[in-house]
Parts: sequence; C-alpha cells; structure tokens
Amino acid sequence: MAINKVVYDGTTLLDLSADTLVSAEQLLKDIIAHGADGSRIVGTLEAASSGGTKIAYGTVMYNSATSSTAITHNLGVVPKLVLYYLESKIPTSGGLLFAVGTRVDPDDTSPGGHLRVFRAQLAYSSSKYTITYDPTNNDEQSMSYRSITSTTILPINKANETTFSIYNASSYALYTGKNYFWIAVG
Amino acid sequence: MRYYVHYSEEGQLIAIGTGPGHLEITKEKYDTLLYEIQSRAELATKLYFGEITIDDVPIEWQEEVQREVAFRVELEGPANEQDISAEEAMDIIFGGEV
Repeated sequence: MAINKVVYDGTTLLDLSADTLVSAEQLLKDIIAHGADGSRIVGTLEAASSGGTKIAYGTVMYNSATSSTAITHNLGVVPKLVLYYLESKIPTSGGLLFAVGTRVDPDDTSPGGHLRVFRAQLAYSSSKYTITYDPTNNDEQSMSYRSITSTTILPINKANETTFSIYNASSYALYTGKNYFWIAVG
Repeated sequence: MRYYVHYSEEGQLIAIGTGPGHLEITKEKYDTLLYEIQSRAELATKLYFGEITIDDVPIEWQEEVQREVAFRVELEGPANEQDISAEEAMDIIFGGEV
C-alpha cells in the first residue's frame, strides 16, 4: 500500500499529499519519484509529449545515393530542424555540413509547410568551435553544401507535425554511409 | 536508444537510424547494417577515385556500388576532373582535416 504521509508522535515527518506529481506522464522518462498518493512513479515523459519546448533527436544513415526517407519526430508541431554530421575529428576550417531549417512563414502551421533551410559550417580551431552562417545559401528550394564540387538540392525539404523529409533522390544530397544527426525543436 | 531500419515497399534497404519511426531493430542488427553500409560507401569512394576496380568489390555489392559511382560521376564529373586530390577528397568524406 502506498503511503504519502508519516506522522510520529504528533509530528509530521513526511507529507507528500500536497505534492503535484500524480502521473508518470509528468515525469521525464526513467526518472523515479513518488506521487502525491505515495505511489512509486517511473517517468514516461519524452520529447513528443505535451508541454513546453519539445525536442526530438536521432540519426539517419542512407544506404543509397537515391534514397529518400521521412524522419519521425512526433513533436506535434512543425519543428525547427538542425541536420549535421560529425566525425571523430572536426575540421579546422569548413567542410562540415550544418543545415538548419525553420518554417518560411512562422505563422504558417499548415501540414507539410516548406522550410527555409540555410547552411553553415562548423569548425574547431584554437580550442574553440566556430559556426559560420552562409547567408548566400539561404533558400527555400535549394542549398549547396555537398562540398567537393557539386551543387545539390537541400536535404531537408518538408516538415509536418510528425515527420520531416530528407529528399535524396536524384540530387545525391547526402553521403551514403555517413551518420547524420538531426535535432527537431517544436 | 531506439534503433530502426527503413525498407522500401520493394524490400530494399533505404536507411537506418536512431529515434522514432520505421521498423525497430536490435542494436546488433543496427551495427551489422551500419558496417555494411559504411563498407559499401567506402568501396564506392575508392572505385570513384580509381583506387580499386569493380572486381575488388564483393559480387553481391557490385551493382549497388556501381550505381553509387555512376550517380557521383553524373553529378560531380569523373574523379580525374576534380579540382582537389583524391587524398583531400577522402579526408573530407571520412572526416579528416581540410
């Protein structure tokens, strides 16, 4: 039986009855605490749950240069997105993809609303990280980042309340065999 | 951490990843697929730069690797027309300093 109040010799030693934790959904996933009724609660709240700023993240690695895939974020809103890759060693100058997407129109919450995507480069030198934003590559429909010599179509193309799409078809936008990290903020 | 794989309707492997969505797989399966994808990509890069021939690629991967190289040639031109050396390009692709 759960106990939420302990009184000894007229003195209240413990009183959880006025606490506001009542369900697992209120508590971050895998955090353990006790609710107002004294019951043991293991948190289940993940980024996709409701309330506050929501964050989802993951990785994706393509098997083919012509693949496209929808990434599930489950945030319930059209998110802002960051897509990047990291290797064991960060280049001292440029060369590292760092693509950021936001809605073109902040008021446009329609499903599948296009994103404005720009590229930046992340570098590490002299004990500091530098992110260089390239305003000339700020475009809804195209982004040139794939270095070497090619110009390719932007990798992040569409987003809605549950997914965003990375179009790799016919553009060869992302390297195969490379682990891309993504962060979605809603 | 949740691991997933994304297959096409035809059963072709499209991508693997971590996070929500698609078909959940074990870490062991994920690691196996990751190794295969990275190995194929590395072979495609070496083939593109002429460091190996298609005969050096395992038969079961040859079609995919050749397709990968063909796309790369289409978009970037042959490796011998690149402005940078193969070594520099490999550094960029595999995360070395540029």
